[in-house]
Amino acid sequence: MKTVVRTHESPLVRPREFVRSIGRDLRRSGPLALEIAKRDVRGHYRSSFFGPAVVVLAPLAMTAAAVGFRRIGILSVADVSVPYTLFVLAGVLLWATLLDALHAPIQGLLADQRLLALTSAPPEAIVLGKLGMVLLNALTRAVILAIALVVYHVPFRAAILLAPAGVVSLALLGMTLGMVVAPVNLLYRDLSWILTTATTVWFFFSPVYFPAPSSGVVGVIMRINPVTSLLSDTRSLILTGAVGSPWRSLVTILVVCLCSGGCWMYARIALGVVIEQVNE
Amino acid sequence: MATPALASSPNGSRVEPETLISARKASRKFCYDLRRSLWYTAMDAAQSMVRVARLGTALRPGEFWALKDVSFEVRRGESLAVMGLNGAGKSTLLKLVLGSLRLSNGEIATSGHCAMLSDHGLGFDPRLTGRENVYMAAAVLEINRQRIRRAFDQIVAFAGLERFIDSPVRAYSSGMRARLGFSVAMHLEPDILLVDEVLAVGDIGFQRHCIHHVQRYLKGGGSLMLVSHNAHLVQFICDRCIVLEHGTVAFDGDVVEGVARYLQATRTPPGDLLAFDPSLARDGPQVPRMLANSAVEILDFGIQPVRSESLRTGEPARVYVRYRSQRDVDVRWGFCLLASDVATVISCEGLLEPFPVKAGDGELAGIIPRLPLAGGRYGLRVAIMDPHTELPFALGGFDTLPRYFTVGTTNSVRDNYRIFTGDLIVLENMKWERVDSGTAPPC
Repeated sequence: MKTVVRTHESPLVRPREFVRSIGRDLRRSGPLALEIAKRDVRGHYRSSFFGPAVVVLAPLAMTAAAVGFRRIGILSVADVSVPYTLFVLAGVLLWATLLDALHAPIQGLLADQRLLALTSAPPEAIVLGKLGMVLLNALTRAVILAIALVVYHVPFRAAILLAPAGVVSLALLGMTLGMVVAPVNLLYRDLSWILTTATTVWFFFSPVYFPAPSSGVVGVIMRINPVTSLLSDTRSLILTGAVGSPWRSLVTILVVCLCSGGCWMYARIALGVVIEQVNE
Repeated sequence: MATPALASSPNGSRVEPETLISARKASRKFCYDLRRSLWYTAMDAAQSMVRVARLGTALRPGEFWALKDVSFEVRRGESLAVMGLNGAGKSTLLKLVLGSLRLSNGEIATSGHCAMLSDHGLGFDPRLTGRENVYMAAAVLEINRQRIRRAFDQIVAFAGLERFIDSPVRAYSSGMRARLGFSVAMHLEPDILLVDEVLAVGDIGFQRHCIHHVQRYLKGGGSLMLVSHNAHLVQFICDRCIVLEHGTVAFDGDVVEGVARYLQATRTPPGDLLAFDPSLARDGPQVPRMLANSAVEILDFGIQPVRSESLRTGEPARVYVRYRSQRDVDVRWGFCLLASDVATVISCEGLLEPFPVKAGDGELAGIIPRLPLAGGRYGLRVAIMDPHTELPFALGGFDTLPRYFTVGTTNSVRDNYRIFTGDLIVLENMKWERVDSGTAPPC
């Protein structure tokens, strides 16, 4: 029988036990995360008017806006190697997955405050459970993208099978950032508003509507932006079967993986403290 | 739960059941101000990121100890009652054991699965249906789906929610929610069940079921921590009791003694609405006074035990009044026993025949052979009257504060029950009988 010892000390006082407890709670989180994922999927569509369509309506609207602005000259983007509509649609769908993953831990922990306050459920289960919805939404978007590929006569290439790795990396990046913000957001609720503003700015420094410029201030910022390589290369894999800078993407994936591990530990420590401020 | 309530060692001798909850100097502080509290939490989180051995053991501005140095143990099969006045820290203690609240100092170790039953059930999500909440609760308790599937029908039937199990829990009444929570807890049998006031819920029939199931759960090796103000229920279910006063353990021991301690605290809290508020007394001297042109004045009065050191139910007591008389005079005297609200007169007794007193100081006394008052706090008034005019010579406790006194109890289940039900007097030597009608019940 598992014995849990809680003290007032920082978990880092016993680092080995801390790491062991992360693994233990991750294993323990599995069934609960599955229940939460099922609940979210059922609950989401139970109280929605548009149903699964809402997942693609927003990206389709964003794509339509970009294509329209380019056509009337408000948005000046040079020709890309694939139809611009397809280019933007793929970018917007990938971006939406990133945002989904970013908001998953933040909204999940906020929505499940009662579960945190009144049960011994590990917060990790809530975060993992929320990823179920992220996955489902990503699959729905993949169907839309597949239809678009057929409509635009994009031939099937084996390289497209590597695209899920890119999507997962983007989701991992989003979730990592979400894990950083989530504990603070449980304390200070205006952080959500700041996050909305920040992601809007981030969107324009990501290669969604246009390819990353190779020079200038924007080019430098976009090179630093980890989304740039992940999104561009995943999109290229899907649309052309080629990858512009595979090493850069691999390094980015590696860094994201390392950071996600660190952020998971950070979130675990921080949540252990801020959990007391959640409301029943 | 596979482990029996009391294990046996290999050589056959009985060994102590394992400890499921162990709290050592558990302390928790809170901050009065929300904004500051959020800041402190953020600082604590930041401090936890670096390896700081001792975090937050001192009070910061605006903080207070909600719980301080609370230590106790709960073994398998044991039921512990946590009693105390509102704000004593009972619910905080449950949350610390559950782990949803961080300790500010000390240590709590729990073994096995732990669930808390409150007026929100087992932490039910109001957006979900009863069925979904049952499965969620099972997942939290790490109970596999096969087992919950097997138990599901029983859970629903026990809660009496067959028609509503697929409705959102937010549509449930509080009683339905509590019934479902209780039913899930009893059928899924966590190793440790923490109950915040909602153990016996619903109508009388369901309450009986609840108590029966709790007893079975405890026999099966479960451990219960029950926060309740219901002394009757606590005495019936729990083995031990801790009484919290201002966040500290004021008592830890036998449940009957613990309940008595708690009830005593409920009878005499400062500012008790039922107790007489001295500030409401009319202005005037706070000692007995002599009426104008009176022959007699009261120097002192009170009630005292005859045989023991303190007043106790059923034991002899002596009411006395010390007087100073200006001359030889006939008097009548008497006293009133009052409830602590001062408005309720329990009994007035007096010496109706004129009684001669000599000039000078003296004492009048009356013996109550068996004090009929239940344990608690009471007031006493006395009066010395002129038998010829029926007007008072002197009054004690009428236009001033009455003399308060406390009747002690024997820390018995019956005495606790009397205090709980607010008894003022005790009927002794009751004779009970049964009269059978002699007719058989209809088939």
